[in-house]
Amino acid sequence: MSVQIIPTLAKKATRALIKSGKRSDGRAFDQMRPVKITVGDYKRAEGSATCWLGKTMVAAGIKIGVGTPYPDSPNVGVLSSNAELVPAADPQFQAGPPKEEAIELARVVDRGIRESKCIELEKLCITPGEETRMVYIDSYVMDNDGNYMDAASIAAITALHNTVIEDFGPLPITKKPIANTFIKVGSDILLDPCLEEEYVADARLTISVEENNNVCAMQKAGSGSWTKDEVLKCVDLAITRAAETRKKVEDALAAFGKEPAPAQPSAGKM
Amino acid sequence: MGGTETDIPLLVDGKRNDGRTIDQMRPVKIEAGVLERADGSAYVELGETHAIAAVYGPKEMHPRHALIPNKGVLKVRYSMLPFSVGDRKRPGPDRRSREIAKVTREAFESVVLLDKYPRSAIEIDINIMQADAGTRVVGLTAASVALADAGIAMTDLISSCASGKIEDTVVLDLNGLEDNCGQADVPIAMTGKGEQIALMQMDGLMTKEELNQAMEYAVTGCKELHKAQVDALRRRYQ
Amino acid sequence: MTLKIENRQLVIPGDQIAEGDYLLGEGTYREENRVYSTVLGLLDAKESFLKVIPLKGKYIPKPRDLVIGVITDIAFSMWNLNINSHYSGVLSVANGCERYIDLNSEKLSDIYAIGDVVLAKVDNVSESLVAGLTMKDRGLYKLNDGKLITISPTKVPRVIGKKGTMIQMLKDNTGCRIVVGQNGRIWISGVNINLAIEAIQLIEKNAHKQGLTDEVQKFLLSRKGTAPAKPVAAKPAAPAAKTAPVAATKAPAPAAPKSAPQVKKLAEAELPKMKGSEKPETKKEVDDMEVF
Repeated sequence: MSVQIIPTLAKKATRALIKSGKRSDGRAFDQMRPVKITVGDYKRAEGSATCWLGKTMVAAGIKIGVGTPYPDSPNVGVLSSNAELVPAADPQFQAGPPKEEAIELARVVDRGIRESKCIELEKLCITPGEETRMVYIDSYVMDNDGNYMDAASIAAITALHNTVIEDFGPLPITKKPIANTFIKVGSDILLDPCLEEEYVADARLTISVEENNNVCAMQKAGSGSWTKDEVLKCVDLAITRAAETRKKVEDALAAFGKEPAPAQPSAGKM
Repeated sequence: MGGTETDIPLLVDGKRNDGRTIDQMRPVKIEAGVLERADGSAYVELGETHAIAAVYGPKEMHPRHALIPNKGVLKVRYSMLPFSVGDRKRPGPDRRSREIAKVTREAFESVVLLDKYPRSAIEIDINIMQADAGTRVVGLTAASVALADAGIAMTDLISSCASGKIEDTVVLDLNGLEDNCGQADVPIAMTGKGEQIALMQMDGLMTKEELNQAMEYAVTGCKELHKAQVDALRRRYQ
Repeated sequence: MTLKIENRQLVIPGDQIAEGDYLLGEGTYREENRVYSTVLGLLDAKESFLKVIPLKGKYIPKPRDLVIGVITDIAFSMWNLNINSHYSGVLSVANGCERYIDLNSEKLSDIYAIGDVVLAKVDNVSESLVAGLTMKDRGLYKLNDGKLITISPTKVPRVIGKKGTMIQMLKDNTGCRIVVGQNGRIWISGVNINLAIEAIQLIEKNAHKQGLTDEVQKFLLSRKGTAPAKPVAAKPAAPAAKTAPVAATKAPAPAAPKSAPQVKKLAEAELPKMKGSEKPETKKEVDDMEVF
């Protein structure tokens, strides 16, 4: 696929609108699109969730396997994160091995979860140095209208909290790190960009925040740059918005039920 | 065929382990136009097997050297999400998914009017979200709705379901357990008018009579699916 | 000869439409004596002629279509354009604009750069999926500001409406300048862009329904209170200004008599002011709208 050419006129219109303090969907700069979360959608997974940010849709599923712990941490469970931008989601997404965007997505989702230490991985070890449970997070972008990063982060953390391991019980997980992505357009900063806003973004910044307002992961992207003050301003807003989103995750999990149905490990054949 | 042993009786007094009769399909749910960006899309549930299919096209053919000057090229990608199965599936295509993509593509080549799309590509992307046997038939049924939803010209819709054999009895639409422990599996795809077989595979052991019965069941199953496909497309424009 | 489906009803690929000796148009095929649909669309039966008007689908360029293109590449003596289709648009230097372009002294990117949006007309269409475009007309030029939206190309006739009534109503009620490309791209400029977009989205969503004009009118009236008054810009000042730079066919007056079938309906595009006050005419075949 050739590089997508976005009409200059469209970029100009989006930039002008932003400059006048507005967004095409009427949101304020510091506002997110409607967040919709459903839990336990994919029954073969030990835990699963789907998150819609506006029209962007990400499905996340957790699979538990058994493997060998890393030699340098013999009594710690293994966490592995994968993401795919499926061709169905966007005409620009091509079939084939993951491109760098998908790898970045997987790693940013991974870092938010890993660095918050929300999963008690030690409890997953079966025989130190020999056998441990492995936690696989798979985030699948099914429909892309911008900011799949946050949608994936929300879907993944919800799915983890929905996870029940056979012969073990619920996944030992405590916190809910939430990612918030900002873009910079000229001197303006916008939270949760939709696709047409991403087209005009000079730079992007994703900030994952956990419960006690610690920042647990960040990722700057795009060819533009951020100032220190801008970053700190984003952190402030990320803390506020992450708390609101966390509440939505909790509501969705509560609506699904305290005792999630265990995965059905049988069948599962194609 | 799975051929796995099971303690669960698959068939008792004409009832299957999930309560169905031998010629009963699992509950069907179809929705058209579920994705925002795709030219056409559909979601299909057949019992516990769920698929999302998307269609893009006609579009420019890449790579250019693979284009056909006087007709369009169908491209099919069939992918099971890693968490759609019991043991996590490694992402990326394997031999099985390539084969399914091929037979699916050929099934659609029998109905899509490719002459109308010279030098172009029509891309079908099938994603299995949850698997409980019959993923290729559910994916195909979804892709057919997605093609119509995208406005692609074709002589007919295609509907697809499987018959199989459990406890020496031919049954319609195997579930996961039956698929794992059964004796035969016959996925079939039919055109909407119910005359042409567009896809057929079989594994396991069956007599000619059993095969005949399996095809008959599949034809009725496909008819039911066709009705649900048509309903889904109509609902989109009510 | 019997119809199996009522005229103007929704059909799906494989649906039997009729039985008998009909003449067949787009979107249909025959098997023995039976006629079936090949696409999702609305049946258009005119006596013994049957066709299906698709509700979805990509834009297929036809000569004389007005399209809105995006410059995607520049070659030695031509521009490549994306025209929202699997056909690619090509604009040669000779057809680039009304004046002569001297390749020795001018850079093509100074005329139209990558990413520029232009109003062009389809001149010819080749079997290799290339649409030769032209901008050699006063009504065809680069669009500098305003907003570009994309709708399904199959729904363009409805946005224009019978004899351009729908688009005129949109312009009158929003005060926006609106250019509808046959390729599904619509350019809008003015203060009330959002109202115009909402109305167009309403049309797109309900394109298969009858009584659409009334519904859109109701919508526009309901929003009248919130909308700023009609800006003056919408109407060209001098109706006497020279007509039709495009094509030689005579320009139908606003109150044209009920046109004979061969008279092309007007899918006129109102143009930005910077091009002077003459009202450009762009003739379109909009037969499809007749079905609605």
